[in-house]
Amino acid sequence: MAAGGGGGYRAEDDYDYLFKTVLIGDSGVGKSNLLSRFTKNEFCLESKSTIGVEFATRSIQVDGKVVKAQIWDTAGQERYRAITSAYYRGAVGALLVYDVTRRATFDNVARWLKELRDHTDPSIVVMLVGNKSDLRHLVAVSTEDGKEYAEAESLYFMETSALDATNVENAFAEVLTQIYQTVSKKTVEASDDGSNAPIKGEKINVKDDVSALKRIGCCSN
Amino acid sequence: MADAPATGGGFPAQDYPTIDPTSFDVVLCGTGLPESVLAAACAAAGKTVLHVDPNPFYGSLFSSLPLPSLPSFLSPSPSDDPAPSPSPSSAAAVDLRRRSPYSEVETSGAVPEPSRRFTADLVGPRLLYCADEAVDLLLRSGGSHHVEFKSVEGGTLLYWDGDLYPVPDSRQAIFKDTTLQLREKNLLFRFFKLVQAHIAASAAGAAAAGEGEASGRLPDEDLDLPFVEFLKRQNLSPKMRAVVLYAIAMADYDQDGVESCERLLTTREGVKTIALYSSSIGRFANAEGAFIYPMYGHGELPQAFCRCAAVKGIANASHSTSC
Repeated sequence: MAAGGGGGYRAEDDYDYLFKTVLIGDSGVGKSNLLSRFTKNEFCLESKSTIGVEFATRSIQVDGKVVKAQIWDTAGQERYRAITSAYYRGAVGALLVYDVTRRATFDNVARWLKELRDHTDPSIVVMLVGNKSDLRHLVAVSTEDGKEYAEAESLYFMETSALDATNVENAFAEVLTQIYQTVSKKTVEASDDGSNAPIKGEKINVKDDVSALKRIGCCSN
Repeated sequence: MADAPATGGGFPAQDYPTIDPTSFDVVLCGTGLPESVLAAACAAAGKTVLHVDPNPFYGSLFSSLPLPSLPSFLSPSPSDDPAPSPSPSSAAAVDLRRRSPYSEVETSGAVPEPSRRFTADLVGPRLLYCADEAVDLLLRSGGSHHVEFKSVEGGTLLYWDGDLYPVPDSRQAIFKDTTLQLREKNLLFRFFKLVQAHIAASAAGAAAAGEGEASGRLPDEDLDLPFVEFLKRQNLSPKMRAVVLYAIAMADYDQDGVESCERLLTTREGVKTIALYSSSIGRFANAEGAFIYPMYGHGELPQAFCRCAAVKGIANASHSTSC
């Protein structure tokens, strides 16, 4: 199931699936640079806490379907351990990032994983990402340590470098592919069950304001 | 301000990052809805903001807490409180110890399973009109990205004379209502038509500011009347008055005891709420009625504004006893 970059073959809002994915991990591990590398192919060396970034999107193809990733950044809230539960709400994938050159960021992975599991669905696809793999001479967390922890906790694992783009594409593509497989499997099971009737009580998208077009008054409908 | 269950405790002082910068335009204590809106507004205006809260979760008293966390929130034990650290003379210590919001709390019994699926709203708006200013604010600020709403389905019910009746809040509903006599229907139609004409005339009057009294507007002496009196003048039956007062105008107190009523609604206020109700119906494509509610509790509202503030670049911190 190859996952490739989505070209300009479709309109921005034309996709088959939309998957919310969150980035978590200690401050300074490179979450925002992973995001900008994947969505804009950019990297910023200037180190500062993230502001101004809500989420970014990018579409890729998985199994002939267009999958749009909506990737949320922490807006620097992780620095003061102040991530809102709403940040995790509806996430189907997560990249839990640590810095391979700072052991403390790896030691804190367990706490991040607990927070993630407290706030998300058990079926969420989680990838443990050891970032800054380009700094080989400063490595404080071995690949084996990362792999071992990921296996013990049933996480996917990859080492990346947002700076030189190593494995960034692969990490996101793998997460999105696994989410797609989980979702399509659920869809098949639901249709076999005959239980894929629409869920009662649709969610309201408050961005879809139709009042300008259709103002219905107390006595006009 | 890690949004964790309210089990008290925080992080060791040495484990807590230095708050940078060290001077701020605005310091806000508490993450309730008013403080969170203020934080987002200040951040949007380019102010440097420090937002602190003694609780290990967002929302202060506007939280929606998982049931297992409720007992420890209602009566936090003294050990839960971070002690204020002695501060150098140059810094003012801000006492952010958690205080119990209630004087006496008694809890008994076990939390039902699966309790994590339920949250308890503490205080704050349970329902929002679709056209409410709070919804407009969420849209303008970008906070709407962070709150999922559901529509209140099946309409509103009125308890009257020992029975429940559907509220006839639209032309269609009035027409279909089998509990209303023809005369009542006509009077209700006429009343709503009168109010709609006033709303339209007021809107037109505001647009063409000061071009004489717009026709269709209710006279000021009527607008200053108690709403219940105005409804009586429209010959609405007691049941119909109750529909308008409590199901549509959402009056808080019994409006019939004019002398004893704590908060008597004026016609001006009543008409304003009817206008809000009216513009709420059909505002969103898939919202059936006039009301929506945050799917995961109203604790999502302060969180949405805190997130907006963070995106604009403010420092959010919890258990910080001096700043």
